[in-house]
Amino acid sequence: MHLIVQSVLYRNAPAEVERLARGVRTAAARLRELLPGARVELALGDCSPEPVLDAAALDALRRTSPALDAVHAEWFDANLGHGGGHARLFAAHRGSHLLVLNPDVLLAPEALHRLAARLDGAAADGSPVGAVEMRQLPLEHPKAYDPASGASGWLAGAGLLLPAEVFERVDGFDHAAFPMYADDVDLSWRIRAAGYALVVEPRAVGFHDKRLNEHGGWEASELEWVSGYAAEVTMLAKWGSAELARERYEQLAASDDPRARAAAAELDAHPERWPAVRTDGAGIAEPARPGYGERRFTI
Amino acid sequence: MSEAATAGACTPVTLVLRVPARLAAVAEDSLLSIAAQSPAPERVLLAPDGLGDEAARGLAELARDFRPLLPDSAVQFVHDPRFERTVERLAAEEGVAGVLRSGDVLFGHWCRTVRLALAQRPGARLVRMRFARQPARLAPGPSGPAPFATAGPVRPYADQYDPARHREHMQTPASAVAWRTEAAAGLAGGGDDPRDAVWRVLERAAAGPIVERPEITSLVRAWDEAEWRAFEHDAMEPGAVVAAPGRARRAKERLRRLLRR
Repeated sequence: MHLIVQSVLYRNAPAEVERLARGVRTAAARLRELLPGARVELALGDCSPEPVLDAAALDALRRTSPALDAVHAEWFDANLGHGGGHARLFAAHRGSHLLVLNPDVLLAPEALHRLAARLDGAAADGSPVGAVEMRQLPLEHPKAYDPASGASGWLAGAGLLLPAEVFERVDGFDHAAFPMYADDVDLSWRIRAAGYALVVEPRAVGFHDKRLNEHGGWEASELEWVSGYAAEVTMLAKWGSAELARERYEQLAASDDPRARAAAAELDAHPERWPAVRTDGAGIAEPARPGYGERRFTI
Repeated sequence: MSEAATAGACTPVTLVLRVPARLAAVAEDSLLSIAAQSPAPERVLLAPDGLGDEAARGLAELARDFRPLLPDSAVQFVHDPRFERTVERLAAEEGVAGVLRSGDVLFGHWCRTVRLALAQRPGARLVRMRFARQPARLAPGPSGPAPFATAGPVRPYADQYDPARHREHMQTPASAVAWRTEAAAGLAGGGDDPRDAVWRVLERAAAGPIVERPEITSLVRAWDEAEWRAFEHDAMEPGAVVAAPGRARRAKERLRRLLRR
């Protein structure tokens, strides 16, 4: 196994990147104990206006990570977005597998080998497993999955292991259509349309540093609201129909909510957010459903 | 930064992970949440509470596995048959301590919030924060049992900390408070007091100034009891720490007397 752990940075604190690397190298050392000969590299792609890590910080990261076969860091000098950053990293550093990992995640020591072991097996329906998702702490992702088999309709991109050939076969993230939100849902459905199963491995854990507000709710930023609304339309255009997408767009454009109107304006300005409809989503895609599938709960 | 704020920021923090036998299988989640603290706690104690030898060995191995994730913390495995002695030992350490029950998890800012609270009120003996509770079960899982949240987090806390109500209604779990370590002095010499060590130390700390923080810093899991029985564990405790029956009224009176001083 030659694993590239890919993470796209944007204005992260250097300490957060150090924490990310600490988790990756600890989990890599454990993976190598159980799978001698495994290679693990960390590839950081930085979309920030200024590099998150200076030369000294990068050197320190490399010195403290002897369990990793390499630590790559590239400052893109442009905000390529989440999917665009991963595409650039994937093109530059090719292994047999890649782990898409958010920079604010700390992996548990057992996470990598448990994810890898699950990728090796077949799904309950006999399909090859195309991708495996870690379980998130402190807040589990609210989407539903079968707790016995791990089968899931889509996988969250905070910590996602997949063979490089699967990622390549489905052309990676569609970063033109989904610059911020729902790119993981779209990737998941394309992997399923290619004949693979998706599973959650709940014993592979990553601490994804999310917080609740004082009232126990979720506080999304303005940007997240706008991106979320815009992604709803794009998802309908790609996996539903042009009519459904146009209907939702008109709702947003006429909304009293300025964030919805901002999303409509963003869709006006970006024709690439209106992709052609796919015809292979029957029985897979649920673009009109809140949360893009069944949820165990909402926050 | 003011002198008081600096003192709060520098207060050493000890986190104790308490692992009763029935919750040993879910210690990894708790430990990962401790390792994710920013800033990190100065000390982490893994304390089995009534674990058999084999389970205790497993926990010691877990402590070893997690050490690289806590490079700036002293991580110790403390296997004492009496958990209260583990708590009492903290009296020898300067600073504040908190106890996390195995299976419960901290948000990434627990330590930071405690330090901020002590900067806000340097003389405080008890820091109380908000928490959320989430129903969960131990599901079979594709490769072994693993926690599975069955509903969203709710916030059952009262807005103000009242030690008597806290005790009576289990409104504050151990993970939602931090206390000055001096409150643990002489705890194990408490004679035949059968009450839980954490309750007794909280009772002592609550006699001094209390500082409240509005942040939700921990997630307490409400485990599905039937599911645990299926995995041959003991019945779950209903709250974070259960008081002996019939003692709540006397304890409440004692606390009220303490608070009137």
